[in-house]
Amino acid sequence: MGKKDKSLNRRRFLISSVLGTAGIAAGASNLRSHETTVELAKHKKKKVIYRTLGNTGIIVPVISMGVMRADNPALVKAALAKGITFLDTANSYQEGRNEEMLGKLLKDYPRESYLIATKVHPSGKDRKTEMYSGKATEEDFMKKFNVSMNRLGIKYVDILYHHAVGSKEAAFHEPVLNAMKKIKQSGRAKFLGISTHKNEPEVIRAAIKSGVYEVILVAYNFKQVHLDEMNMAIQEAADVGMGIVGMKNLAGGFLDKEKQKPVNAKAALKWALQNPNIHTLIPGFTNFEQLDECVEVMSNIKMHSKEKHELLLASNEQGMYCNACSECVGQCKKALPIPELMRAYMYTYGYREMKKAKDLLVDLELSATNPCTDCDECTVTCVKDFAVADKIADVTRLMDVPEEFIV
Amino acid sequence: MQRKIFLLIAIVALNISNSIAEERGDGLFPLFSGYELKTDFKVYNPDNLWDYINGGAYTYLNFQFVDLHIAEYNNGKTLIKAEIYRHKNNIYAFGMYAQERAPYYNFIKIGIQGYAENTLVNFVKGAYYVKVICNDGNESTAPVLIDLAKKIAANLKGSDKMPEMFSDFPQKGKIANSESYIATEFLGYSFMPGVYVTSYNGPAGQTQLFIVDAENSEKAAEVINKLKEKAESSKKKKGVLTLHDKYNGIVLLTQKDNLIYGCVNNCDIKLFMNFIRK
Repeated sequence: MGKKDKSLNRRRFLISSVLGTAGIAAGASNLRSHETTVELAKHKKKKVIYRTLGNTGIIVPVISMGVMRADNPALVKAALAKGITFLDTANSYQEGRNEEMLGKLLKDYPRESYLIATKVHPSGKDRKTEMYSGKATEEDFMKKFNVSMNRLGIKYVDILYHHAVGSKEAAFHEPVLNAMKKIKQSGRAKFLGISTHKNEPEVIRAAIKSGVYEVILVAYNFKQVHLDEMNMAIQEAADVGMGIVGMKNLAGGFLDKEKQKPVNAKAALKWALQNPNIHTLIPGFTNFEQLDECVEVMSNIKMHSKEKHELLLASNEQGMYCNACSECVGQCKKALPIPELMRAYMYTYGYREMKKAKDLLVDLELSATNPCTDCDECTVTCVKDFAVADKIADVTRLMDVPEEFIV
Repeated sequence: MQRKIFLLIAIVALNISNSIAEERGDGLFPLFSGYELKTDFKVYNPDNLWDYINGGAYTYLNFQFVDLHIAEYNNGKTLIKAEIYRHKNNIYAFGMYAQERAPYYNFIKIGIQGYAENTLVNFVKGAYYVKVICNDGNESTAPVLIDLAKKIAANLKGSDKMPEMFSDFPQKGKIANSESYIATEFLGYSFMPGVYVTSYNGPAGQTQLFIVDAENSEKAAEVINKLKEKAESSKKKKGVLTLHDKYNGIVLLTQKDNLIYGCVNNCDIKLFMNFIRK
């Protein structure tokens, strides 16, 4: 468990929630006046692990709820009752139905008893470049945010995210930043954030540089191929006091395309929480069994050896991706650039970035489409036991695919 | 070796699917007077839908999403995007559509069901869930979107009728356009198969009647047993099983062959009895 973990009991947490961030910072001097909230929670036996969301000062349970796919209000109610008090939604989820469902449900809850984040996706994003056109105006963002607030029926959200940012240019997009700053000034968002699940390290660093974003919602899981770079960027964000929320922690939920091998959800959540810079996670549970698993993790993030082993196997299961250890450099008798070829393979089958893969292959100036054809035996021994020659044969077929077929 | 074959097939299939998509795209998307049609967009499938709609893809996959075709209509002033999501059948397409629709939307007569706003028209027809979107839309573009949506609907094969199971639901007290199909995890339980749901105004507030469509009567009985196991208490009277579920409150159930008829949320026994008698 990291230094910043705070195994507060539920009493203190609820008091903190009632007092709000300012109350926590001030040391919650007058606790007695909030005794009612504490009474409601006194039968809870399990301790919940809380972490502080960076400099926002918000204290959150390590497990929060990604409401995105939950269309059953009873599930959200059950989550709240079990102490999962931070709800994450977005303007675009279920075409707005998700926010509407929450708005209807949350009418029955005191505003101070839960935390809520929503996200707004500016119009006019080019999916290839991840940059905005002129449609991503301040007015456009503001309009979408107003729609969200009407659906939610609340006066403020705790965090407003700039949704699904995939480039530094988008993170810095001035009209969006202006709109967000105005929203915060008006008190309708307590804190501003940015969410990213593409080019994450670049976006995280841009978010730090911007000085506007206070929270980062980022894809973070045991299967990410660029984990070292992710951890570095997350560390940099944590160092400047940004709150960090992890998402996509189950890496799609299954290890195989056929969906026969589910990820050990508890192990995957615990794995993400071993990084003390990740303050909370937002698993998108959709049934009560999953909720119960999340609740278990909320009070115990220690990984058992069996869980570690399962995740290790799961990582190997992926098997398709090179971790760029460079151990293979110099082993090929034809001096092929193996790490680069494996990277092209990863672009093709991991990211489905065919163009990027082909560009890389072209840059490598290979002498033949499959440079391994005239080799009897492959001399390369991969630390991950990759069948390197097979992968090269597979990926170099891209060289024969006409440009117009590559998207 | 198996993996190699799979990967080879994947590359070839990707190329083929792109070329087929180009042909099929024009077939799915009709010409629209005054607008230039562009269909050379990537076709998304269950493996890469996430690239297009991020985490929203999970819900589509639950509803047996097959592929997504995209087109743009541009007259130099207005850019309209059309997205056609194809699902395994009309029930799943309707279910996905209903996930993103509310009963109070501005419904128009199109396909099985559809609604319009200034910036969009969404509708479902057969196995297709269609979205016609104009981000800069306003009152003047709204009728254009409807015209285009109707043209697309006319061009698509498939039924204009609601999934047949909805005819089993009583009309009296029904909240218009509240029908939905939940493909998985109804009531928050992973063991639930597909369920047809409709909302009603009951004496104690809004209530839902539902029909669980199990594979056979044994599977239906299994579902009931599992619900009973989850319940805090249960009692059976006059063929109606009343469960007190710790999360969903009172749930009324009765089984007829492979179907389970039920009521949840502010249950109205009178409404339920009418339902099962029908």
